[in-house]
Amino acid sequence: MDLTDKRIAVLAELARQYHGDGKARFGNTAAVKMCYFLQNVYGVDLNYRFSIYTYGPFDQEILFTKDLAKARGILDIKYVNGNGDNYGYDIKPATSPKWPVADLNAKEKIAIKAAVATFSHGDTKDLELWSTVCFVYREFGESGDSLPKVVQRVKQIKPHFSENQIQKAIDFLQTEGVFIKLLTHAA
Amino acid sequence: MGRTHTIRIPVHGFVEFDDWERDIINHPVFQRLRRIRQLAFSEHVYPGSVHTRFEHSLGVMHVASRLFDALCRNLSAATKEIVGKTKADRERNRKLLRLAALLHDVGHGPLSHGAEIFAPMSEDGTKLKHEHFSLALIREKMDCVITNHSAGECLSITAKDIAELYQDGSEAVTPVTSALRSLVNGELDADRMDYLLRDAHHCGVPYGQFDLERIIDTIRVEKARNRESKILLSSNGLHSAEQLILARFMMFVGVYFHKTRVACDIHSAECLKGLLEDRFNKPLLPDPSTGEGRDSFLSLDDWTLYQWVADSKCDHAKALREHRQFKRVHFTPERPDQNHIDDLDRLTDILDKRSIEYRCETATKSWYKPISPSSVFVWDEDTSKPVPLPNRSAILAGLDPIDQRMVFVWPKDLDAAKEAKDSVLS
Repeated sequence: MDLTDKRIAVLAELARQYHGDGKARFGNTAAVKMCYFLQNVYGVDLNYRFSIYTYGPFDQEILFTKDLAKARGILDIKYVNGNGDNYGYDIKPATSPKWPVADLNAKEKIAIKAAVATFSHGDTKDLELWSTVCFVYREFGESGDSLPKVVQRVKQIKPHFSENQIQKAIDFLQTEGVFIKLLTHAA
Repeated sequence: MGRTHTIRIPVHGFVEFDDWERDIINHPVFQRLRRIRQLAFSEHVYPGSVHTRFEHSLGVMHVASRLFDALCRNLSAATKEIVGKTKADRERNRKLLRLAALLHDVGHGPLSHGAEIFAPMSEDGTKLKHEHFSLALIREKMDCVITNHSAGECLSITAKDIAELYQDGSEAVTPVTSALRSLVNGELDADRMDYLLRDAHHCGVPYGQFDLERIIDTIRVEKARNRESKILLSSNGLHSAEQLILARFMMFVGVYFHKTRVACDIHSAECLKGLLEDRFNKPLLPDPSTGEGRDSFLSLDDWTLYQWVADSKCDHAKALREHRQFKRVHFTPERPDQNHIDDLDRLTDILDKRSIEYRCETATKSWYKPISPSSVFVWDEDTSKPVPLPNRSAILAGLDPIDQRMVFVWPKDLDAAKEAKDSVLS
């Protein structure tokens, strides 16, 4: 399958699964971070090249893919301008796509389901913190004292998060088994 | 107080720099950019497009300074701290931005972006980008003219500080670094503003133009979520932003994804592959994380590639030497539908069956993608919030990405390929 078609199919499936009770708005930040988790935690080969940027790991290609999916009539994207901080994009699957969406394999579909189940309750701030913790954790790898180093490093990169918030994020990711999966796919 | 030097470059005229910047410009790593062309083999289409990354880097430094000065003028009380609380802070941030802009391209290999397909893998299993090479070279090869320079000591600017602005992310993102980073590497950055005008100038095309003065006049910075900041335009900069994005779009269609340029990219990539195999026994750029790798990387530039092209007996080198590159036998509309893609698949199937060598290139894989209008924001005075451009611009609301595909064959096979095309596409 063509890589661009696969990337679009993944975004479309994420947009489809992301809507429902208890799930946050599927906007640009969510799209970028979910692609990060899918590639690095669940091993879905999307070939994005992430670097730490505003709001955590980022690759501009994801936003390009989103625009292309919109142009193909696969995604319906609106800008929401609500009160306070409630503004940004809302990405939904289009009701009648102009192009067929590529078929993902069973493993990829399961990965998306698992990623949505694990992360979709988080708001943009949660996603920023969780993905940054994952990004930093990969740098240190599995060693006895890596988690305290992760706290320090994340605090250094993102000083607006408290140590308590970072620790809570680590606890959440540990409980969900994310670190083990991260190291599996980093190998 | 050091001397001010000037150098005249196309588009901006005289660009000023001081003794410190002159020492950086004179460093061999920076001088190598004189030997890296901005647009690879585009001169096969536009003979004037032989400008280099050296010239462009000076231009980016110049534009970045003007953007920073404009931000300082357009500040509100709430955003004053973003560019620097004190005069000394502002002076340091301006210099940091200038150096980051000047050095942003030192990691380019031969053919600029064309070399990146041969980059080694990073730890996360994806290919390194030229920015990774820039980071390594600035830190490991240029520290002597940055951190250890007397002027560097005065302003406390290190090679690491500069590297931070290329998304290195090992230090705290502050409103200041976030803003500076966006000016070097963002949707409204000095890099794009310079290369659009410069590429258009050297290609001799009229459509890469936009109103740089108006962009500079209306650029502003606002606080974003958390501790970060956002570079955007005042609402009265809307039409100049439209121009910028349309200019980028037109340059993509007319220059960066021009059929002959794309054909030359195929040949030049094959030649670079041959050069790398001859030198290093594998089609891979040297690893910038080792000293030996960095030195080997620096020994590669367009001159070494041209020499290889001049000497080689391979068909791709000959095609470049004789301007007998691949010919386009088929292309889809810029925004194809599924029928067009089915046609393309039928054509490539029959070319396969008839053993006609072909290459299929797609716009979505190009290094030079147009700017996404939805990533550029203007300030909405009524709501005091940033609004994406397409929400204010009917022109940009309909500007979808280009999804075109092209099929190329050798000139000798063109007639046979056309016949094959006629047999499957009625």
